[in-house]
Amino acid sequence: MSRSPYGTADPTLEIRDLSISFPTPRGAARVVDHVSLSIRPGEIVGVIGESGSGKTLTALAVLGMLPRGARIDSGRILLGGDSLLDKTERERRAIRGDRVAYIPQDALRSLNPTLRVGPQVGEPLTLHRSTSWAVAKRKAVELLAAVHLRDPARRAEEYPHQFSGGMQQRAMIAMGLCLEPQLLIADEPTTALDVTVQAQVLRLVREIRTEHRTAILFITHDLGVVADLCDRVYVMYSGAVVEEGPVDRIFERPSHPYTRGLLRATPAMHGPKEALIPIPGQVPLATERPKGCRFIDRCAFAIESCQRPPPWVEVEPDHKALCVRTDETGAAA
Amino acid sequence: MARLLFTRLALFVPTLFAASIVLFIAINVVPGSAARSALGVDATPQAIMRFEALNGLNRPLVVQYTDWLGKALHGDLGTSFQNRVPVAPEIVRRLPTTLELALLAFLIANAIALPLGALAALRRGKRADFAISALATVLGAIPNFWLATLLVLVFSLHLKILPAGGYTPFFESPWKNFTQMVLPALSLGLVSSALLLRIMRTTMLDVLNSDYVRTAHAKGAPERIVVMRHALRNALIPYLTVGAVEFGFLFGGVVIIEDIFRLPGIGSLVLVGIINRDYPVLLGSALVVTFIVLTANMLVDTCAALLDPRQLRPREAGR
Amino acid sequence: MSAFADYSIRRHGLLTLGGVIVAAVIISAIFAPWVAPYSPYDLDVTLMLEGPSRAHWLGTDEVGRDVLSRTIFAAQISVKVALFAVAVGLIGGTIIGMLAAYCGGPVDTVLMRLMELLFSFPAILLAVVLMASLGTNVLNAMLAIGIIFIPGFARLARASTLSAMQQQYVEAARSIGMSHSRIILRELLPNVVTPLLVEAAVAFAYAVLLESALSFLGLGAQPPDPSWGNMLNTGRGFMAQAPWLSIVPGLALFLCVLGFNLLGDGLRDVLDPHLRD
Repeated sequence: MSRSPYGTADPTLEIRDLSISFPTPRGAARVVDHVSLSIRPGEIVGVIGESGSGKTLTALAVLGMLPRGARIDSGRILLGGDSLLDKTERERRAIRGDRVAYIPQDALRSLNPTLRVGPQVGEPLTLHRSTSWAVAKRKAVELLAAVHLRDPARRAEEYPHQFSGGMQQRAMIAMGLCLEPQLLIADEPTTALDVTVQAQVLRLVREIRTEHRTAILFITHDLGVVADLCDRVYVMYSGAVVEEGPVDRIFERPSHPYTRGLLRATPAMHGPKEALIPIPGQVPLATERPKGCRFIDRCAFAIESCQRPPPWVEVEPDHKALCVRTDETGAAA
Repeated sequence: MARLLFTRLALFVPTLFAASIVLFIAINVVPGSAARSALGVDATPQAIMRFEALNGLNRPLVVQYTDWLGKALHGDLGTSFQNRVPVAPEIVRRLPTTLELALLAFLIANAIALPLGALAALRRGKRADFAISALATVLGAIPNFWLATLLVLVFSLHLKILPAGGYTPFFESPWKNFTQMVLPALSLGLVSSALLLRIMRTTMLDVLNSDYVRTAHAKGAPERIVVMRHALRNALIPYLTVGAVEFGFLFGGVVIIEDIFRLPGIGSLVLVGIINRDYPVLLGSALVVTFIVLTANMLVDTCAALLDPRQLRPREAGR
Repeated sequence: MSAFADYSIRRHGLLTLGGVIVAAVIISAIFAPWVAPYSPYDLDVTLMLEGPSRAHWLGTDEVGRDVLSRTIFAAQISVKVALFAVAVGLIGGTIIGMLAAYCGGPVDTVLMRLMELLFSFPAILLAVVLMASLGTNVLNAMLAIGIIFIPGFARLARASTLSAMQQQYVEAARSIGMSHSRIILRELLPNVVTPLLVEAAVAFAYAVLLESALSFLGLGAQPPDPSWGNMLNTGRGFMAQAPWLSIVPGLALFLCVLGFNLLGDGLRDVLDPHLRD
């Protein structure tokens, strides 16, 4: 079923039961609530959800870069079997940029405006391999060539503001690839780009996967990108994963009402004659979630038993949804 | 880079002219006040007319200004009403004292503001941050002339380790000059540091919250490298830009501080000009103080631009 | 949870402290004749330069006047000057700033260039020069300080007006042909007031400082009227024999400025949440 050719290897990243909260004046806000996910080598896994669904915080937790005040309440994060949450800050720093790389959304803001692009791209080499700047700069030129930048030697000498948006994002990807990480976390890297540039960047991401067998965690709110790029997908809603499975299965048979809503609200995902249907209501605040199913207030399928926390239901092999009504929802698709 | 310096200079020259006009107007807000205040309240109308004719004060203001400006451009700032001494040479004689005081105060202010402001930002919300912010609040509320008084009380009268005033030229006795400059420079520098410290803390906080600092962390850079390589230079650009204006604002303190410590600088000359109602002296010395401030602003602002590649090499069009 | 509580207590604590100091200064200014133990003008040559005692808590000055009473009365002059100066700056600055923003184009450019220029002058220098031609008395000190504040208020008023003008309802008001004065007074002014008031608290502190500086130089309040500035100036002559003459008025001045600064910073935090760190 899965498009991933590496379905059986040990996972590169495994997150088990991760919960993160923030203190607020009205009590702790659980922004990531018992999230579990895994990625195997060479697999591109999408995490999709609206802003505020906890997808970026999950990624930052893997990097060990949660914002001030955030607290990890429970869970484990395993990178190639190493438990990250048990490590000291120093050990985690040694992993960042070496075994795990992060590609953020806004490339221009993520590049240091006062440093030339070359040294920035090659910097991980000086940080983790203690090489000279000359070596790092040579490597940077190679990397810029690998992400298909024309005239990389000249570009390496330029400053970020002299690059176009697409070039800036490629420079960020080159920086991420510097030490051939096991895991690449891409946080909406194409959102700020226009469609043709977006397609080029996605092609580049696929190339990286086939050439380096890198495991890629791709965070997005764009179902089109997921359909185009990912092998498997996790759908997040209000801090929790509500559905997971192979991309083709989820598009074929969306089983959580929220996933169904997402599909209906996306233009390219269904026939041209059908009207776009927005999901009614709003995402509940992290401090004011309903006791049972977190989607209950917006759900057309809600019944009495949805007042209790819903169970995971296996819709088909590898495809699960956090909903008691999967018989109805799955069939109705 | 040449283009950047040229445009700065092109903006600077008209600013100086405009500043001279503002000062000229400010001094002549009340027409006829020059003669009256120079001669005293009980001067006869004849005496006033004679004085105005003698000093060319009976001409229209525009004529007076262009005349004054024309001479000023040739280095002639007129002669004192009081003792008929040319103003310009007096100012030149006093210039080194004021420049030395300003430079020392500037160094002290930045030596405090830069490290402490950065430290407060790095330790945001921790005890060090609150201690440093409290220090800035207290320093910012102390009037520089009271601080000067307190410093004299402690270091000159009580501990007797530094002189309470006086001036020895640097080349005559560097050490003596230094001991005489310490307290004035501290009075001016400490107070100025409060504002600069707040600016540094804010700009550093902005930079530390920026996406590129997050990128540096994501690369696995240790805190020291994040700060030194990625944050500091970026924080310095707005710090210098904002700080330049604020420092000029505080630089006016030389008028008081030089008076307190009996330093024969331009600031105390301003005061002499006021007390004697000696308008040529007042106008000349006030103009030079303003000139120093505007020049310092321009230099610091240019330094900030030189640190910023976005201003130094703007993106070429059509790319 | 506790991090939040700590933060807000500390913030509000400082705001409260500022408010208490400011209230104390204003109350002693208004009720000086009742609060002060002596008249600020009564001489007693038998008690010249006496140190603090039970009769004179903070000692006496060079002509035997009670330092505590003079310090309390001096608050009157400071508050009066600052109030008037801030009003001049606030009104002048608001008019110029809103006019610049509302008219735009060359009017905006010329006005704001002028404001920028005034802003780059050292404040005390400009005040001193203005005093020279206006004449040295308290009224002119108020005026001179007020003029210095105009550029700061103008910049702020302009920025707030510009952002308010982009709001939909203002655009709507324009499109339905509401008169200019109505738009400015009814739609724009209310949006500009809050940031200007915060700035006013900070400007107040600065006005107190400037007035003292001018009086210290002999250009503001004239003896025998007590002002913290001219008391400090007198005190300089007696630093060895009577250090309290140099300490007491300075401390009062410091506390007053501190109070207004804390109040201004606190108000900014409360009213302008996005500026909070």
